Amino acid sequence: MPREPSLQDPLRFNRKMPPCAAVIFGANGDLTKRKLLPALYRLAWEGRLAPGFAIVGISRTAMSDDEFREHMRESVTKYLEDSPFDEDLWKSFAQGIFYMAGDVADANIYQRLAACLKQVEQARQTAGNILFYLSTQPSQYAPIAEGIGAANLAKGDGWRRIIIEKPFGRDLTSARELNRRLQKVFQESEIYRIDHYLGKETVQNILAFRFGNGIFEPLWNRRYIDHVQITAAESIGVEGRGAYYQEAGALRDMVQNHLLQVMATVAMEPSAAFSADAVRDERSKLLRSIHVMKPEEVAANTVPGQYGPGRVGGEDIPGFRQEKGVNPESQAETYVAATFLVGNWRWAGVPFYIRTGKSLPKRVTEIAIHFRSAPLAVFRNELGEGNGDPGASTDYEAVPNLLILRIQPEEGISLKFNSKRPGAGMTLRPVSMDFNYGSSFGERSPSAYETLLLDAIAGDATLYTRQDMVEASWSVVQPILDYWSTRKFAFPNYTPGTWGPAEADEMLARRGHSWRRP
Amino acid sequence: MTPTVQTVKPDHILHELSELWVSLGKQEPDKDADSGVLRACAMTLIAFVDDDADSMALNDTIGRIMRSHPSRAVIVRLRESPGVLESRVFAQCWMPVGHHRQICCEQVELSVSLNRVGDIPSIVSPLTAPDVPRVVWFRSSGIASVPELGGIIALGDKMIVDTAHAGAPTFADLRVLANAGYIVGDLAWTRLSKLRQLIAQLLSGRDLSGIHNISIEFSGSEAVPEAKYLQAWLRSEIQSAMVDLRRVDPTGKARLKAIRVDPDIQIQVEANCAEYQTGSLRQWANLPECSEGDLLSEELNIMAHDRIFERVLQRMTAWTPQA
Repeated sequence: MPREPSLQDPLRFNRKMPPCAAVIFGANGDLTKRKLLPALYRLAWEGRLAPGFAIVGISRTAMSDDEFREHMRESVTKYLEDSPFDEDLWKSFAQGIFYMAGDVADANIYQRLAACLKQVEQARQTAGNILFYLSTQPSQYAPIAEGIGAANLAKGDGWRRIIIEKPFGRDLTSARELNRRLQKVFQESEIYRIDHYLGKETVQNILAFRFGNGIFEPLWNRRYIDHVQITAAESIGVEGRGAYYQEAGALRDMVQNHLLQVMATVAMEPSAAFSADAVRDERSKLLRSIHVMKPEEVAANTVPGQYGPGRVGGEDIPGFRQEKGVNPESQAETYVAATFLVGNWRWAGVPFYIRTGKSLPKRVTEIAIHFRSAPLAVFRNELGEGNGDPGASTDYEAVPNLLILRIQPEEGISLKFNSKRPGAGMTLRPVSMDFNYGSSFGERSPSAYETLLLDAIAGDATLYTRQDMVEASWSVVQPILDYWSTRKFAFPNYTPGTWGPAEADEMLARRGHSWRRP
Repeated sequence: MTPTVQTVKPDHILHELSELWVSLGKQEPDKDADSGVLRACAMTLIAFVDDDADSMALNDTIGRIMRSHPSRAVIVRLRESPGVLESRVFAQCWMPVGHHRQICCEQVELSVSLNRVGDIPSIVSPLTAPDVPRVVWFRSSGIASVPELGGIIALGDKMIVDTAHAGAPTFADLRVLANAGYIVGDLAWTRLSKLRQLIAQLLSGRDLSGIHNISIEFSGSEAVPEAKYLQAWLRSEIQSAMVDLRRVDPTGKARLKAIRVDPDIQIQVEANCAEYQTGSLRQWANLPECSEGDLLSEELNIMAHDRIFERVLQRMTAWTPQA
């Protein structure tokens, strides 16, 4: 059969991208400056965007196209990471950047936007494809979507997609309400809820590790895994985001979205195909399998924390309540530790410990899979415990195997196992077998925003969160929020530079476990 | 007195490699679990280079490759003077930015006279790392003519050449090897990837069978291999089109200058960039000149048959420039 003529070369070319215009609401905001424009510029630098790719920025500040381009140029030069800034390329890229000043609450702006997009489509040959990016206050998501719908911009010749940033609601009820309003204008398949954690190379690598290798999956269950620890620690405090953090807290800011998504990636069943819906179906199923705590279970299985003032590395660190914009009596948590159980055959009885916090000793995100110990300690360890006599002391166990999936800062995978120490006798010592992402793949990893923006343009929603996943994770978090809202905690309860409140250690100790020191 | 014949024993080299890792480990005592040296090896790279090759440039290339494809590198330096057969073993280490653990790759360097190239397969074969791919890279101008070439090619799962270099195997040689089932790569083809991608992007969504005329302009006395490859690729993939090579500046530096696709696409190829026009839209694309290490790295990513390249090789024919 004759071949269809094609110039594509999948072995060597980047993924083919359709032409489109990206409309950024909140174009003068921090996210646009720090993340979106640098990511889009980098994609242009790599030649990954279709010729004619256009950006229409919208915000309240009055500016001309040229002034906006100049602002964006400053941002790109300032925040571009690991990439050169090329003046000629910028000039070419900037020809496709346009700006409209206006209030998103004003219906007129959407009519003006429609006219602007028509011109852009003709000049830049964008084929009518439009990607809306809502980089605004979450309270504006629904009104903007409705404005887009009222101006008939949600339908047209090309495709339409809308990206929104977390938080997707403040609780289960508001998440459902937001979704109801979004879905009045857009189909679910057109709504891209961004969770930048899922765009990280190493989070994606969890899927490759689990489902691209035959040797781990048979061990990936309650029979071989004792427990799982997921840690997302920040060494810095809230640093100027006190007012936001006071409203959100660590549970909403980190656990409801990022960490439950990571947990779902670690624990989900293999999908039948690597397609957006197949993968998200499995993630969603896992999230819905997490045991929803009853009020009486919350106290035993969660620990909120808030850091007080302290001193780290010779520097005085203000406590959370001393941060600008924070109520001196604030009950917002800057730390959370929680024990989650998954009610399915694979994971029944295996605790998933999650902890996240500000002002912890170091910045690290990792998943530690603690395997069960060998059933019998027939060898001595370095402390001389264990003697090979099945009838002897039973209080010694061989050091269990540990698999660590490091997400940041040193991305990679380590497997700890026991090895014979050189010399006479059979004394075992734990050793580490390391895979370092940077050493095996020296190429620059794309930023999470580069990955996710490209995926949205290509129409691949695999790494985006679907509404049923959002609702499932709110269902898990809601009882904790409800219970905590009825309590008054003795905050602050941990010192900056420590691993959080002592109660978090006690929570694990009750199950015979202890936190790993990352 | 009979002159002593130099010999190299693979077992001895392997022993040296083993000792090298022990000594590297001792240099970085494992004080805390995250320090020390990380040994990385994803393939064996067997490079044949001329003895007078620019060592600094070669080290740059090898260093670049080690970061993207950590390998056991076996560098075979071919010397004119007869009788030489020597080896040495060392490691290339680097500390990735922001990390505190050195990553090291092992390197074996063999110096061999051209008249002893026949000894190479029996030395190199045991040195290849087990269970990972083996790649033979010909960077030497003399290697293509040695009688033992067959045994050397058989050392690798893939062979990489650069037909833009004098003395390199020809397109015809590559075609013979590809037809015999070898995986082959040519850095002259690899140099075209970014430009080919740009062309593919610009023609995306068009009915390719409606394209009838394409011209490729070059400068210099003869078309560079890249121009010939581009012509063969476009002929292979757009069979309705006449694809001409046109010399526009016979005295200029030999390079690709422009591509014109009727009716309305023009691409001017400049150093590190391309300026293109589609209809009324005039744009600029970044086409950075790739280092030898970048090109090699792209080829090392492809350890299977590259059907498009193999198809193009079949189309490479004798070339006659248009007036």
